[in-house]
Amino acid sequence: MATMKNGFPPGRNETRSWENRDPKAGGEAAAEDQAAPSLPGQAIERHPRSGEWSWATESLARYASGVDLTQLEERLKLTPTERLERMRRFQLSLEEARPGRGDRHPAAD
Amino acid sequence: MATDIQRLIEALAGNQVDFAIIGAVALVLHGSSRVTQDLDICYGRDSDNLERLAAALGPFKPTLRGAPPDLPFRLDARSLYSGLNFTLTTTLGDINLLGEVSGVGSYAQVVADAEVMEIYGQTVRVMSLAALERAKLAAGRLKDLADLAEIAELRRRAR
Repeated sequence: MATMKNGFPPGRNETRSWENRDPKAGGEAAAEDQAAPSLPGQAIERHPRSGEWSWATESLARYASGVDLTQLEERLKLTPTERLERMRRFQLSLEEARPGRGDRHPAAD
Repeated sequence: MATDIQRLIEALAGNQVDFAIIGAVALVLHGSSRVTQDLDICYGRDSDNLERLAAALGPFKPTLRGAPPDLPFRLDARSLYSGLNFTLTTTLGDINLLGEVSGVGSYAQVVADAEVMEIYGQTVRVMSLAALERAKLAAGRLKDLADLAEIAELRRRAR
């Protein structure tokens, strides 16, 4: 849960702090002396500025990553330029497939 | 419009601009399957480099993205010096110029562990996976979560 500040949720560069959780509310553990979340095969790093385990690290540790390993393996076989070209071809195909104005629903205008 | 990354890189490298590719294009260069519409670069802030950067992008008529069309803007060393981060539209597509990257720092800190890659025949610095991870953690947007998962996998494979 993100910490509210002045009634607003944190901005994009503000820390989602574990330390601001109320241990009594919802039964979540106090944040002091948090052990590093377990993430298989990866050295967990603390948030670069706050030094805390970030909300992102926590989420990564809890859920399956969903990374398509077959796509990733395929791209790692390519040179950097080939990787960019593949992305560009994909973008161009999307632009070609985009429906013309005559096909648009009136509500889209 | 898909950004013509090749021509932008050629223009920057051809003008000896001190820059490093960051953001989603850097992720793609490292092997990510991410798709992006714009090119993000971090650039050196010394005055000579600002001159070179303005000269490199000038031919492509850069304007501030999202700004009112009548807002006067001229990309030159002075305007670059006055600001830090710029989101621009050019005739080659969108490019974002960052003088500093959250979670990483200035150009000097970005290039400290950047990788050097050969891209479209140009030798270009690309933000490292470790730095990309720090930048994504600092940005903390929901879409960064997906990127972080992929970065973790790419870093695991790079070991």
